[in-house]
This record gives sequence, C-alpha cells and structure tokens, in this order.
Amino acid sequence: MKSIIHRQPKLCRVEDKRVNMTEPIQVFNVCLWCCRYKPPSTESNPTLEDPTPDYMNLLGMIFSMCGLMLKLKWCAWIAVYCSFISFANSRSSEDTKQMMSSFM
Amino acid sequence: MQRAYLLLIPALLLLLALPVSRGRYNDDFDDGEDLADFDDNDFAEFEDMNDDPAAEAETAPPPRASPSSQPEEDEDEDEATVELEDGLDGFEDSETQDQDMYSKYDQEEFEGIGDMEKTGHSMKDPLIIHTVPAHLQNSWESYYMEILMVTGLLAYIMNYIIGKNKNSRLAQAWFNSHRELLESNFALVGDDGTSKEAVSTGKLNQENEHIYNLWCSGRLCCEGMLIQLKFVKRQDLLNVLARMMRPACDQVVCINQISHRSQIKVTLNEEDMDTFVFALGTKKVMARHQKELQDLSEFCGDKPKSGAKYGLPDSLAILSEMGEVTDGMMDNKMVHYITNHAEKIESIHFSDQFSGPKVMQEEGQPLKLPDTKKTLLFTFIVPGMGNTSPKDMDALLPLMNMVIYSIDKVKKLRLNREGKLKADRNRARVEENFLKQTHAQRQEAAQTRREEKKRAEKERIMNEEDPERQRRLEEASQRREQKKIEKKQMKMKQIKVKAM
Repeated sequence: MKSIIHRQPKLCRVEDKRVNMTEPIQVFNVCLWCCRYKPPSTESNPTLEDPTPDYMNLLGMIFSMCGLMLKLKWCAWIAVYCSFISFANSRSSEDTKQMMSSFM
Repeated sequence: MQRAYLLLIPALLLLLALPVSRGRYNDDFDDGEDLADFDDNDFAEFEDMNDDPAAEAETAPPPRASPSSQPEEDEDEDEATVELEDGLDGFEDSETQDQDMYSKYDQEEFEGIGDMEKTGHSMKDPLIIHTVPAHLQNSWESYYMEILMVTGLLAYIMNYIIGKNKNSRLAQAWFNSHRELLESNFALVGDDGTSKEAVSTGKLNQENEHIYNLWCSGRLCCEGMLIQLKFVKRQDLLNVLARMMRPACDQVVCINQISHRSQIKVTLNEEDMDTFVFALGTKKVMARHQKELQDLSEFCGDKPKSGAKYGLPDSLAILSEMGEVTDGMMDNKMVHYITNHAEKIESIHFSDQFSGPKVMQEEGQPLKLPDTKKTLLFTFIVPGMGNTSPKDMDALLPLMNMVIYSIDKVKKLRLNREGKLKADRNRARVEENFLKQTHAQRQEAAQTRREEKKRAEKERIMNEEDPERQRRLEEASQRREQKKIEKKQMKMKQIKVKAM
C-alpha cells in the first residue's frame, strides 16, 4: 500500500459550457488530481463493523465442542447452522481457508 | 354253607370294585404290553384270590346246585380278571398312562390340546416380548430429526443464493443507471486502491454480500466520493425472517470529502468549504445523530427545527450551527430537490468538523482531538421497503444530481463576517472545553515523559565505561537541571510581580 501514491494526476478532457450556441466549444485538457481509494481502517471505528459473523463463529465453535464432548446431536446441528450464518454474513476480505475450517 | 358265604363276600366286593375301575381307565384296553408286563409280578396276589374264589366258587356252588349263579360267577370272574388287570395297570403306571392319555386326547377327543399344552408351558416360563428400540429399526421414522435439519439447511442455502443474486442485480442496476452521470462528473470512477495507476475500474467493489462500494474521484474541490450501497441482508435467512417482523430498507450512502486546499490556480486562496455544520433529515434520524455524532452534538446544541419554515415537508428537521447557514443552503433549487424526493432522503449532513460518531473510551477522554475532515454525507433510502426491484434504482438518479449540485453549492457558500466570527468562536470554545477536560490526563502524560527522559539519560551515564566521560556527562546533566530550576524561579518571580 505504501507504494501507491494517494493523490495522482489524471488528464481529462473538459468541455466548457456554452452560453451561446454560436460560440465554439472550448475544450480544455485539465489535469485533475485523483485521490486513491483507501479502505477504511477497522481499528479506528470498530463500532461501525457488523459483529454478527464473529459471534456466530464463536457460537458455532462452542456448540460443536459441546456436541462432541457431551455427545448431544442437537448441539452439533446448531453448530452447523451457526457456521452457515457466519459464512453468509462474512466480509469478502476474510480468508476462505478460515471459513472452510469453521465449517469443519 | 358257612364256607360258601365266606367265598361269596369277596366275590361281591370285587363286583362292586368293577364299575369304579371301568369308569376311569376305559382307554387302557389297547395297551396289551402293560398287561403282559405286570401279569406275573404285581397281580400275583390278585390272581391267587381270583383263582381261589373262582375255584371255590366253582366247587361250592356245585354242591348247592345253583347253575344260574355259576355262569354268572364265572363271567364275573372272567370280567373281573380282565377288568382288574386293566384297572390295576392303570393304577400302577401313572406317567406312561398320562402320556398315553394326552396323545390319545390329541388324536381322538380334543382338537385344541396342542395349544393348551403350549399355554401350559408359557404359564410356566413367561415370555417377555421386547419392543425393538427406534434407532435399531431401519425405517424413515427414526431419522425424522435429521431430515428436518437437512431440509432447513437446504432452505438456508437456497435463500443465500437467491438473496445474493438479487442484491447483485440491484447493485448492477444502480450502477448502470448512474454510470453516465458519474463518469461525466468524475475523472476516476471505481477504484479498489490496489492498482498502481489511477485507472477507473468501472466496477463496484463488493465488500460483502449486501454492501457494495464505489469510489469516485477527480473533481474540482472534491477529494473523493465514496458511494456505499447498503442493501438489506437478503442472503441471510434469519435476517429475512426478522425483516418480516420489522421492515428495513436498502440505503445508498454518499460520503463526499472536500479537499483542504484549492486545486485551481484561479481560486488560490479560497477555501473550498467554509466553516459550518449543517444537517437535514427525518426527525427520528436527526435526534439520533445529534446524540451520536461528535460534531453535531458539539456545534448544533439546539433541538432540530422543523423544515416547514423553508417550504420543506413537515417530516424533515434541520440541525444547524447558525441560521445564516440554513438560509444559505436552502435556496430554491435545493428546496425543490428535497421536496420532490423527501421520502427517499434519510439524512443530509454537511460539516467541516466531521469526525464520525462519539468515541467512548474506557480510560477517559482521548488525549487528542479526533481528526476532522470536511465532509458531505448523504443517506438515501431506496424505495420499495425491502422489496426493491432493479427499476427502483433509476429513481435515485435525481438524488445523485442533488449530490453534485450540493458539492458546488458548498464551495460557493461563504459566511459573512459575523457568521465567520461566530463560527471561529464556536470552534475555539469546543477546543478549550476539550483541553480542560483532558488537562489532568495531559499533565500526567507529560510527567511520565519527563521521567522517562531522565531515566534514559541516567542509564546512558551509567553505561559509559570511561570514567572521565562519565564524570563529564554527570556534570552536564547537573548543570542542565540547575538551569531549569533557575528558570522556574524566574517565572514565579515574574508572575508574582505581575500579580502585584
């Protein structure tokens, strides 16, 4: 990310608005400064993020452990459901491997 | 005569015993074996008796010459012997007779005797019939729980696919209808921030299955515009069910960042946005924002005013730093835009002190004022209330026009002298308040920093191996401390003099 310059120039053709139709169109080659997209950092505003996938992931793990240790079938089923809900609500930036492991 | 009577008595006794024996053991006539077995041993005595009375009967009656009794007696005796033997057989061997009896019963007399025998056995050893437990049975009924769960999962997956596709189609429809407008107004449409060159990707960034981003940049006085399409979570079945209870709607959020410095040589010293804070939106949202957002809570202390004064619908409220700002913003075109699309506007927020929601820290106030940016924030509601179709996206196009008009308007809006003074005073006041609140904490922080410095210096002195250099460094630090103390004393004296 450091290699990407935040503000970069870009050449654009700008047509000036004509007051009179008789006047010729004035075209300018304007160098406009474009700012690059910076994804909002999650550390600065954790409250704005949706916590659902993380909670569901945790619940799923807890239920799967319960189901395994106490041999309760319904716990295991709820764990499966939790992992599905977590997957549906997850952000695309998250690792697919992590999500697959959560399914396990 | 007396001997004859004596012989008659046992004969009579035997005659009496006959019918008794015949009644019980009539069926033993077939078994000839038993008779043969027991002839010699068991019935010897009886045979003697039979013979004697028979013999004596034969001898005695002839002298009497009663021929009728003789054949009777003979017959009786014959019958008696046959009968007796049979009867005696029955008495002696009970077991074999039982078997014979039952088998004879099976065949001749009784039809249902076999069952009786069996029930007889069951009464002796009661059978306990167990029911086969459900999990050992091989039938569909034992798996109904699993079938139910799998059906639920399949329904969830179906909903996920359908919801994802619908959201994707809506986003694409929005982009298609707005693409032209954006491309004519911005040099850079669509950027994910990863490529080295500033090239328009011309595509939406998919952050989530329900959130799409679009970054536009390259416009006069606008650093950039981030458009967020926040759709309803159609891909999550739980959310779909929750929406049936509480309706929610799709949102389009435009965040414009106004640049801090001018971009064109002509307007070198002019700032792109004057210092003011202004917000407009539905009453509920305004009340919420006033509590949550840092700048609105600090600069717009009054309650939201109704927009009716400016010709806006009653449902909208205005929060503003000063009346002049509202007057300046609400020109005819703006009012026209807002009135026509009032149901689609959730909130409009212009601020030069925008820093997001209030930050609540556990340790107390933050030491530094949060970074502020000159921002214009627009939140629009997509019509349809959750049941949006791609055609509804075209309805948002005029709102995008309003956004671009607002950017230009904000650039042109200038406060007069009084307004500017008031605005500056407000900002100074806020800063002062903040500094007061954090005074104690800042002092503590400064103290710790000073102590750290001293410690570091002392360590450096200690670590010096050369004693000469060590001595010199110590002297230098002592001199410095002395100077500081003198300075403080001077200051105190000056203050005292001033006070006097």
